[in-house]
Amino acid sequence: MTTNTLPLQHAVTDGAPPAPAKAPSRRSVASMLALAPAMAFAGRAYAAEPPKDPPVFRIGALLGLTDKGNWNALVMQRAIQMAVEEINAAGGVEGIKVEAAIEDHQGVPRVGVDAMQRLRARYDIQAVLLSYSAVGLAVAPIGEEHKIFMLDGGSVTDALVGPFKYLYHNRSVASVVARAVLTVPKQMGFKKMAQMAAVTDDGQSLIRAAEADWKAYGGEITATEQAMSNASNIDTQMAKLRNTNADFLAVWQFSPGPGLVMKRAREFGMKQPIIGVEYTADIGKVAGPHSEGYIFASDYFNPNASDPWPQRFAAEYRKRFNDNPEVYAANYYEGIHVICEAIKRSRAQGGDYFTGERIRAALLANPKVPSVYGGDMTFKPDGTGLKRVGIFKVTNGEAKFQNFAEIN
Amino acid sequence: MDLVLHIGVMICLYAILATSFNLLIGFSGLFAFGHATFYAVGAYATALLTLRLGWPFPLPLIASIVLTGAIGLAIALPSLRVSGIYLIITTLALQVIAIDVMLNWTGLTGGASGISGVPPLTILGHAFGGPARFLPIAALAAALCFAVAYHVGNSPFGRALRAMRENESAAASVGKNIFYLKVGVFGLSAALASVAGSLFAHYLSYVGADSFQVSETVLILSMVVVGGTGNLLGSVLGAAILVLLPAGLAFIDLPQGMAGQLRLLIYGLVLILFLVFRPEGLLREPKRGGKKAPHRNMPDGAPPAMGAIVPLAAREGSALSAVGLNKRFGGIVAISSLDVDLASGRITGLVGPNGAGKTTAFNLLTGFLVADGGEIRFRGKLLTRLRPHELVRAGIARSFQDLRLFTRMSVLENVLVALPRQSGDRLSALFLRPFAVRREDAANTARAMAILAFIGLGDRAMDLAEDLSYAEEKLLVVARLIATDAEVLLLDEPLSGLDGAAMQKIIDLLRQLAARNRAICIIEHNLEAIRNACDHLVYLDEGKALAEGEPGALMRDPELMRRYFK
Repeated sequence: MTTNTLPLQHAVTDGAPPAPAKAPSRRSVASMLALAPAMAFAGRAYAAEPPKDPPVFRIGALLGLTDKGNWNALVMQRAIQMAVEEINAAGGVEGIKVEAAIEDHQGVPRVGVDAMQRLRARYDIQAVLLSYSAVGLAVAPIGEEHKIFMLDGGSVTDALVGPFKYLYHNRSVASVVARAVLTVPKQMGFKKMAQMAAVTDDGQSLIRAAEADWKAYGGEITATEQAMSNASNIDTQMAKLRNTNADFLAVWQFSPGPGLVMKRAREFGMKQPIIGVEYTADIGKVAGPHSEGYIFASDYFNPNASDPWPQRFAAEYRKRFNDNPEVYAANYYEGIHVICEAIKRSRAQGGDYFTGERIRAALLANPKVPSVYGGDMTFKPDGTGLKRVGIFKVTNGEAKFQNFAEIN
Repeated sequence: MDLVLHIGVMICLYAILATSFNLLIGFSGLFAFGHATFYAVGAYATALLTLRLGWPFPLPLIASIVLTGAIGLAIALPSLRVSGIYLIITTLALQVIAIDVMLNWTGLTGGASGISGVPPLTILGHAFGGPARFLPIAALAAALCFAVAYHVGNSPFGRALRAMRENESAAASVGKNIFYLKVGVFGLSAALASVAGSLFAHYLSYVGADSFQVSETVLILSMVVVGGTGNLLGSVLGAAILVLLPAGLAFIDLPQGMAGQLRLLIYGLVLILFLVFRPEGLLREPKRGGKKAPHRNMPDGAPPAMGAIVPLAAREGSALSAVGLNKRFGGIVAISSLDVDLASGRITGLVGPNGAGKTTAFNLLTGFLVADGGEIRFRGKLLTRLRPHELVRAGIARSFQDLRLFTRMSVLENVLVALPRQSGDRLSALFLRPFAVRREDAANTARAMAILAFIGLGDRAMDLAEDLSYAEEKLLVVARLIATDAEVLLLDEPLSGLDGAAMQKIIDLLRQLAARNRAICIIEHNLEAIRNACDHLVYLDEGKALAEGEPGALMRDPELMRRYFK
């Protein structure tokens, strides 16, 4: 079977050094300038006091370890543990050891709240890594009330952006990745889009972002179908999508959903290009040869990049787990490092520095942090991390970097 | 400290859910598998009304209760037609549909994103956010919901629910309106569950479909089963255990990487151990009805003057008459042109070989089957289309060949539930006139005790019906019939399997009832017993009345005897 693929105007060769990080937008710069006096004040306020060191820096993590689709939670867990071990092997943060306190939220908001309260009760947790947007929406008010620094590297929902000032994101959110991948069909001059989305808030966020972007471009949405990401039968949806004769099929789902969509789309005779926002080993396994030509946008993590940190991380990850790291591993590994970097900066200001409020203040004062994706990542005032979003194409089962998405 | 308080809040919310679910499962025997749907409706209604319309407390709570109660009534409808495994499947399907609606009606429910930012519960300007401030509210709500469930569970309505649970047709045969019971308990259970949902929305400030999956119904069911079905305190205990157990397990340090799975494994094992060693739950269903019995120690054989049998005035003519009854089951003619007259003060025997149509005739006369043709009149009034409980209220009651006692209820309650015109059978009276209902129930208890004493079971009043001997069970069947105050009593094989003394005792009782102007009709195979008991016989074969008359004359008819023994 042959499939149509999109020509990519800005394709670069795999392994090429990534382009420099995109400069912050004018609006971001204005926001940072507006916050500058507060940041400067925050810095001065603690400078006179010597730092009050805790015996250990304990960082919490809420993961769906026993959720139905727990594959990514297990990846997150081992990436967190790897980061902690590396940091401690290098002497910890300013000589103080780091520990991860990982709790299972089972993908259920109420259980997530239980876990968050447990982290507070047992460890008086000041920083926590979140995952799964529904759980995030339930626990974020607790973090907000108790001034706990929260960092989400898993969900892409826009619902978590804005209302919570202690919640940061080191994964590009829906409005970014959807627009990024839609640059490809726009370059092709396509007009008719069919969509298949996950029945999750991430899926809905992607639909909202994609529809707004596609309509602004003047495109037409021929059909929108939804299914659970772990659904085993999507034939009804595929039949409807096929009959709309769209120019291309957009898949707003996460692992393992896109795998089945690609497989059934091709088996149903759809030859249109398929685009999406994720490609993992699980997706590749389900899709088999039907993943050929699949194009997706994702935070650009290139394990073969020339930057030393991505290279070192990728090599160590492969050595430990006999597997290639991908976005979830990279984000949660990076999450630990981001928090430790913020702690280090906060400590430099002295006083009772290991608090969620001080960790956040440290990032507000300097929102640029090293990224395992290469170069630096800059947090915007709304808490989202500015990362380079790459466009990838699957060839022989491997995701090959094509170019960085140019989005405004 | 917040963790402890948070656990307290969750115990309160689950206690509400478990007690309300227990009303359905433990009290009513309705294995409906959609309780999380009611929980969800309460949560969504509160979130929407608070956020979008800005309604202040308690309006969202009240609206949630009303809306969820109404949905509960609608979901009750399938239970009127299906039971057991079919009801489980039907309600499970309804829950799946409800989840799909939550996920797909994006404009209303927020779809998979749910509704976030629900403000904390605010009363008179005071916000009850966070576990410390919310716990007293949750505890108060749990106590109130428990009080409502307890009040209903221990009322005549609750007794009727348990009778329905034991045997639906038997409950109908003592005048209970099964439709009202099912619809009422579904509505009430749903309304109570919505209180938990409403509080949940305020407490978590986020409402999403992930919180109301089928697994949530399974969790609530586990709480009911672990605590003990039919015991409301057990539900509270079950809720506490199943909230505390995972919370406690989370404090056991296990190897990272498999801790979550190991904890789930331990949790599952503990549940299995509960079920293996305490299958009936931690707390058994309590025996009810005894505390209010003023004549508990009444000696057996007390005279009926104590009110056991309501005297009826002697009346001429047929009490119950059936003319030209027909009933077919496909190609089989079960009853054909059957005429029956049951007169007051007379014991009529319905005899015939097996398969003659005797029990079918009973079913037609008591509304358990609808006749294809013919008519049934009670004191001249046409009753043909009335349902069983309406016929009992009109004055026609029956027993069953297989007894159908309410075995897990006390002997006293078996009689008490059959007493007619109990205002406590109505939910409205329970809440609007609670003291009048209580007074009436005390009087009814006294009357039930009098009936038991008269029948000779006074000293077994507080025993479970399942603990009676077979002869005592037969007596209890008669006692239950007496309690209905019906004029026409139809007994299906009341003497079978009894020894001579027990048989004579029941025959004496039937005679006493006939002497007090009851029209008695019995189906019986023991010809000696028929000769002793009956004043009049109807000989039935192949669905037709072949002969009727004085027992001795019919039994001397060689053709009838030949057909009987063929």
